[in-house]
Amino acid sequence: MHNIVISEPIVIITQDPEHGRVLAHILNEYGYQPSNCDYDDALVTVSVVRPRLAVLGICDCKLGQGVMRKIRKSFPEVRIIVLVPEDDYQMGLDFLEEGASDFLFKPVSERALRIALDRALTFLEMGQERDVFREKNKILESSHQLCRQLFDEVPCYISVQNRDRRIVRANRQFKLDFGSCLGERCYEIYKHRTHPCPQCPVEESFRDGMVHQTEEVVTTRGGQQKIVLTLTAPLKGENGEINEVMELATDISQIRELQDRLTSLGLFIGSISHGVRGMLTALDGGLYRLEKGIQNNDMELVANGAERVKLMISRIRNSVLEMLYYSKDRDLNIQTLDVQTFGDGVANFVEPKATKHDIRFQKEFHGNLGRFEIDPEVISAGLVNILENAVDACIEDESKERHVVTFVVDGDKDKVSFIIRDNGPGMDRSTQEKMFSLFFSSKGSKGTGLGLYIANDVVHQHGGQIFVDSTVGEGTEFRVELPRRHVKKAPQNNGTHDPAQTDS
Amino acid sequence: MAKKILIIDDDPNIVTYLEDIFQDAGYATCKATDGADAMAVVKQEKPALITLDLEMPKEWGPRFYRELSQEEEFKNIPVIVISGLAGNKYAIQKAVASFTKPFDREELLKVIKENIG
Repeated sequence: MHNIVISEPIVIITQDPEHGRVLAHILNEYGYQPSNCDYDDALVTVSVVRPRLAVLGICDCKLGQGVMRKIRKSFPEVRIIVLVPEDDYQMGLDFLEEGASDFLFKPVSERALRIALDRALTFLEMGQERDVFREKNKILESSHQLCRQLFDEVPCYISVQNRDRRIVRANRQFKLDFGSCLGERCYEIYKHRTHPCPQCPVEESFRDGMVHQTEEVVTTRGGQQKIVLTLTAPLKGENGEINEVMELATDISQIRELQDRLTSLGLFIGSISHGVRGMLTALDGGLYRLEKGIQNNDMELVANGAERVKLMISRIRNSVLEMLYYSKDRDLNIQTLDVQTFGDGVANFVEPKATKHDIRFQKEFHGNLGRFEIDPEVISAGLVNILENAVDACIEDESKERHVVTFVVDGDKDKVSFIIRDNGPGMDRSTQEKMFSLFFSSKGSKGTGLGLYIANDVVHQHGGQIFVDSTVGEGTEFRVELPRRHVKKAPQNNGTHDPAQTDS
Repeated sequence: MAKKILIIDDDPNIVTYLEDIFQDAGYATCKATDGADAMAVVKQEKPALITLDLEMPKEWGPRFYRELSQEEEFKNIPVIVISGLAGNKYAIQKAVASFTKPFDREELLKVIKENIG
């Protein structure tokens, strides 16, 4: 039974004022606060009192239904208990169909009225609870949707991995670029490796429960390489145990590219500035002779000093002009060369180092090699770099007794190929994917991370390609293919300021 | 007898310049164009002071300095770094002075005089 604490308003609608007063009296005793009215005033009274409950006494079925419809239309939340003539069961059902909360026969038993009112209140309260529940559910649903949306639309790759390093959740971006990957292993999907990566940040997060950060090169299912900044964070269960780790990877390829550009510009300026400093010093030397010659009236010294000054000024002029004309692509100094002579020159550069470390150096020149068009300075630097890497790899490799580095030069009508093969330790796929990146080195402090980056760059500049085939434990083969004829690439409009065009 | 200065630099124009100013200041000179050859010259000429370039094609200055400092007889020869690399004073910390090219002639002679008179 409901305890009505604050008196509950209730509207009593009857055409019989005497009956209304009796009902009001009874309800008042129960703790209700009744307001009486007749049919004509019913709607107005309900709209003023705004009760949750109303009692409607019926004397005329049609009129009563009219009143109830009006109230139900304007205030559908009001529960109406209808009092129908004794034993008129049909009329009671009619009113129930119209939406009455309950019907009672007249004369009303106090007990029945009380039960009917109680039930109406219970119904109302359940309704309220249901509304609150619905509201909460709606909020939950929308926040869930928001989370999902954030998870999916955030411009990063997000994956959640379990202790087996299997992906249990991934966002849209991840699935888009790496395929449907649930249940697969992170290193297989991201890096096409067969074993977990060394210094895996996910592993670290599982171990110490902290956030870890690394930079990785990953390959999309479309074969595109991306440089990503990876952050990992542990996801803790109810008892604080780490069951899963979230990995968030942001594509920073563009930043890296920009950095490459700035770095190469920096390297260029650095190399130039060292040279310029030397030239300025030598210029001082020339001036010193010139001044001393004038002081001592020694014309020979004057002439020698002037000669030195002239030489240095011309060198400085060239350097300064080079600096001014420096643009994205260094202009190639293309020459037509005999392939065999060029190949010999490259081999001669590296052979002594190999021999010194007891590594067999094998040259193979196939067929009629003819001539080709290249910038010999940059291409030989690139090939020497790859050959030296092969020699270094063999020096480091202690798993084999005998080491061989093979240098094959081969040519057909359109292209010349240089193959550099070693039986050193080989590279895993991750190293293969990273090796052309700027400042990536597998040699630790011994490497600068510049060599292969530059080699790759100059070969592409020549319209050529580098292919790499490597097996861990067996060795590595680089194949550098260069077109026989140099085709000047169409200038790229990259926004680089070109003083040659604006100075005129 | 005039005190002898060993000039180590791969640029012949700079070697000539240093020879000019050292000889004019009353010193004898000898030279090496690379770190790799320099040790032999040290042993033969026994210089009183060495000027050392850092960046040379075959062997860099710091490596030569390490070799030098391992020889009991020569490790106390004062070394002055003269290099085109900015921030070179960190390359060889025990050098008595470091000059960045182009250098101040008077300043260089002053440091030499302070060290070997």
